[in-house]
Amino acid sequence: MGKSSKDKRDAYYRLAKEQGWRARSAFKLLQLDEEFNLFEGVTRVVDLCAAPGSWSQVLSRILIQGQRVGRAAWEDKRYQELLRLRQADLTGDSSAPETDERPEVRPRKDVKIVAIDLQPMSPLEGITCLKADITHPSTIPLLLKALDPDYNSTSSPTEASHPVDLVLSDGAPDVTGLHDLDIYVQSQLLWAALNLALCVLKPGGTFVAKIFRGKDVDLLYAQLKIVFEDVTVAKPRSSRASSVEAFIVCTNFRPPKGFKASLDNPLGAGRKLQTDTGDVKPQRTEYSRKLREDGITELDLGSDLEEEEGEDIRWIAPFLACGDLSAFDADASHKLPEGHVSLDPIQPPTAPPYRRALEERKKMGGAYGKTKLGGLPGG
Amino acid sequence: MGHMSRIWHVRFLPSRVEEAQGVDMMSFGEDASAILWHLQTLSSSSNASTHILQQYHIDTAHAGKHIWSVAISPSGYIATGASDGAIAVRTSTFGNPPSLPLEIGSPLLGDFSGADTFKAYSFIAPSTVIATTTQGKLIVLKLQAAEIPRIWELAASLSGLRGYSVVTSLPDIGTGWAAGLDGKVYMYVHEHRRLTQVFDAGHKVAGLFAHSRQGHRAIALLVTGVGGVDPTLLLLAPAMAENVNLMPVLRRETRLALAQDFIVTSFSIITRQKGHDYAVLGSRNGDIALYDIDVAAGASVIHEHLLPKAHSKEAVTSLHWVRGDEPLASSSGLLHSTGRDGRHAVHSLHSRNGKWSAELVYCLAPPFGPNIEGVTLRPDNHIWIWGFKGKHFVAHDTTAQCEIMTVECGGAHRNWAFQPEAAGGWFVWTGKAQLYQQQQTQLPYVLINPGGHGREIKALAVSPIEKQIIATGAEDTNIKLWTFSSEEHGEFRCMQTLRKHNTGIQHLQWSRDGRYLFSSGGFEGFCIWRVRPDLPGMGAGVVCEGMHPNSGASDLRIMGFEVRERSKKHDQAGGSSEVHMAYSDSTLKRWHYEFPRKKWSLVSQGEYLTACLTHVFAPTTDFIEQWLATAATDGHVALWNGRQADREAGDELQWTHRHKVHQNAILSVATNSLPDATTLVITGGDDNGIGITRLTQSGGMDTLLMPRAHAAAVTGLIILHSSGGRLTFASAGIDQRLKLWRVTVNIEQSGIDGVEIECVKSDFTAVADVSSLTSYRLADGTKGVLVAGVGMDLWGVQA
Repeated sequence: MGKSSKDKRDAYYRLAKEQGWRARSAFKLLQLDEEFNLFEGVTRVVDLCAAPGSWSQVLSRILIQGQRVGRAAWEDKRYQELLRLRQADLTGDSSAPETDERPEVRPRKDVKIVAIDLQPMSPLEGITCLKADITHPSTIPLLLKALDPDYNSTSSPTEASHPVDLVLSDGAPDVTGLHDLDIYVQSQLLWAALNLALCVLKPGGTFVAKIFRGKDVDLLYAQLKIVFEDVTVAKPRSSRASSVEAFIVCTNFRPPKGFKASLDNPLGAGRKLQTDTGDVKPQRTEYSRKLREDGITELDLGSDLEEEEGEDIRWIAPFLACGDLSAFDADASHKLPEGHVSLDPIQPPTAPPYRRALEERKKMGGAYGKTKLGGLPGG
Repeated sequence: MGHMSRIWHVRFLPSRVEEAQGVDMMSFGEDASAILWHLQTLSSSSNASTHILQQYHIDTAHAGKHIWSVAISPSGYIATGASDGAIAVRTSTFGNPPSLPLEIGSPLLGDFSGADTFKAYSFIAPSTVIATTTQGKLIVLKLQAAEIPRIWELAASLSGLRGYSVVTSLPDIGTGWAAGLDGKVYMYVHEHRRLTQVFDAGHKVAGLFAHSRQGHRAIALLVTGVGGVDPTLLLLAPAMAENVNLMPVLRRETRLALAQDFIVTSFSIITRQKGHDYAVLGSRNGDIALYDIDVAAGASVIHEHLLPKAHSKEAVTSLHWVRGDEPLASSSGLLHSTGRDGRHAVHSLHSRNGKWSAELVYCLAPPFGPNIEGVTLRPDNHIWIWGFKGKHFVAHDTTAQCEIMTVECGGAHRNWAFQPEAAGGWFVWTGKAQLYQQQQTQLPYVLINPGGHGREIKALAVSPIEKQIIATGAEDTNIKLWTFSSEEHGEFRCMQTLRKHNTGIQHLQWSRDGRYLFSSGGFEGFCIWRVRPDLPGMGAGVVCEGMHPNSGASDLRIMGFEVRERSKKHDQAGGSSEVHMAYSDSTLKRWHYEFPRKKWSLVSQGEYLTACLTHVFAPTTDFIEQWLATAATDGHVALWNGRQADREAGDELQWTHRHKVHQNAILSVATNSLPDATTLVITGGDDNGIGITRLTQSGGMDTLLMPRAHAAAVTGLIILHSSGGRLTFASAGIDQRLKLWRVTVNIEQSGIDGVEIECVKSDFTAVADVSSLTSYRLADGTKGVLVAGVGMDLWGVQA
């Protein structure tokens, strides 16, 4: 397997290198944005598990540099299409609404982006990078300090004085192949990210995180639904259908009354909410049958379906596929154009887990990338 | 040495012996192996003590990857669980230390200069070896567990055996033979400790092969030469006790005329209840030849039948004849052979009026090789084969599909001898000019649960005939054939493991008569397997009939395929099938395959869009007026111009209708025809939804969608019952839920207006990462649901 075989296998891998993204996952965030308009009015963002930094790159290009990528690019495309249609039909209605004016977007003011990861990350302009463990309580003061220079750890240790609009987490464990374990560890990461988000997110804010859809994922959905008004599970087209990966997009943060976030006493760890539980239960649905615009009749058998165990704790979040259907398919094999030159990755791994092994091998006289010990010049 | 992967666990073991100097440790890896180590602390005067870590033993009880769990009892039992679902318990490690290789050494030969070494050797009786030395000595070694063997010298120095010699033996009758450069063949009978010269070939003896003919109370000995010399077959009276002077009696001497380039590497006798006996010879070029040997003495016999390239172009290392059971079929049986092509093959031989016919009924690669060296039928009717894997000698039980014994000996290129015994046996080998021995009297581990695939199952198909065979294809690249026995708590038993694909399996389909299995995977891999469901003593006979010529040509995955059979009998003239393959680059190809000629030809092809196709299927069972349909990662079902009526050879395949059902990838499909000639196409999506699409004969499609049918991707669908406008189907997803649905269709109403769905039952399955569902006929005649993913589940369904 050379690097070009990966180019064939995955169009997004190739595209990421061409467009200067550090990882193909940038497209996942862009496609999520196309559907959810994640960055509207957003200036303060926390990016968890950020390394190698492709999501921070997206934030940087949209919020700091004011580039039109993601939803904005999609809107531009739509605008161009409208223009084209109008020109094709000059006799058409001239009193068309003015709303399809090309929207103006400039670099935003007072942008604050904090990126956190356990791994070191190459710096990005305008972004505060922290090397910290999101599952550890000591990270909270670090994060709050990074968000607000006048943060005082004694007066309000776990609450941001200027909360953020958006918390992102694209974190995943080094997968082992044992799905139960991988899903469990991923759920733990999601839970840690959520607890951090609860500390810094402003009411009405948005939380986006990677989730592995597996056993009991409906329990997680139901729990997220307690603190967010809308919970959707989204799958960008750049994420393979054969992978368990999806993204949970939680909008309109609405902490229950009397709720105080704390990493020392995190959500769900034996903690009871002092609120009327009826208020936070996910809504139940009735039997319904409705014809959608696209001609498909949607059937909801009602919530009885999820309750047969007598537990009112499961809820299946609606699913939304993101990204244009005409976008590249991450599962498809692609033919490389004639004379294709495979590009080097934008950002080589900064601290891969195998670095130590490579160093040890070098010490013994072996070279990077060579398996034979000794005899060869190093480097 | 060490693991070839990440190490998941390391454990100290309870001490075996009162040894202050060291401790035993065991490590368990992602490579599914468990390694026993001894850590020794050398006494040293300074504070800095020196440690020696030595690898004692490696076992590969598990298939695939990852030893996930380990438990050690105070008494020293070590249990491991791995991705293959097996639980292995090592019993012999403590108190009874694993037997280590023992160096026998040449000083035993009474030659302290080390100039004399063991040359050729063979087992003459249990734990007894007849051996020659480079100085021409002929000796007998009585092996003893963990001790230096006792030794008898039979002959001081035979000039003909000096420098070069060959040895063979028949341990069941305690007789051995040796020969060398001068052509003199010596025979040794262990019972009487008597050595005699039985024959003089007059030329250098290249090989000696022996076989005892119990039925005829005679021994067959084949003496081969070099440089185009035809071998001589000797028939000897076996029991010398009949002779007063204890001399062997040469009954007959026959010359076997060899075909060109036939260098004998193996030999056996085909005994028959009626008619003549036959000698069967294996060649270095992969051929197997049959000779009638009940002919007049002194005659030269030409082979009567030849199985060309039975082991492609590689040496046939052993032959074993198993006579047919049935009293009437006395002239038929199974000929087992092993070869250096890495295969164990079985030919079904049949003789009528002196004419032989042969059919290859089994040819599979065991999990080691390519040097497969021997095969035998054990007293419990289990078939053992042995050979080499890297630096290890491996003995394998193909009936139980498990490893019996492994010995690290340095590899295949050496002299060695193996004597199978219950739960192991003796292995003797030459390494670094010394002789080594190792004995195993107890299996290195016991499998409490035999397990299955090393990684998750990706495809599943049950054969449509009476004795149902379950075929599973997994990410570990293997296909396994299973039977299910409903006795007691029910058990899946793996009969055969089919190794051919280089990537995970994508799809499996059986032929209607259950005699062919088709499989597809990545790298355009596509195989046709000929399956004989009830091969005596073998469970199922399997032969890879052919691979698609494009296999390995590119990195495209064949995501799905659909085989349409053009004739009832495949192997007869004109037997052919049409195979539609759906590729990951959005192309669909129609191939024509002729069974008797094993010939593939491309009929037509077409492109979908850019989305990866996931399935190709025929929505109706009507053979002539079949639509051809595909599902893809774009969530659409498409209909193609695949109907017989629209079709002309050379036409490009084109999709004519495209209909959106899911938001993204369609992962599972099931279809059901309704009485009004419309069809329900049920689809499961990555979007958690199940779509029910009613397809009319003109290609109209209307969909009823349950967007939240599961909490995660719906990966398996199967229709269990259908009659009139009512049907029951099951669905499963990676949320590990198995659901049962009832659909009623009011035929009077068009589209999906008259379609009602009800979820009848929902349950958790222990199978993670479910990839496929199918129905399985249970012993009581009802239909069960087979769920496959990480492991397999069989569910009964109550009406």
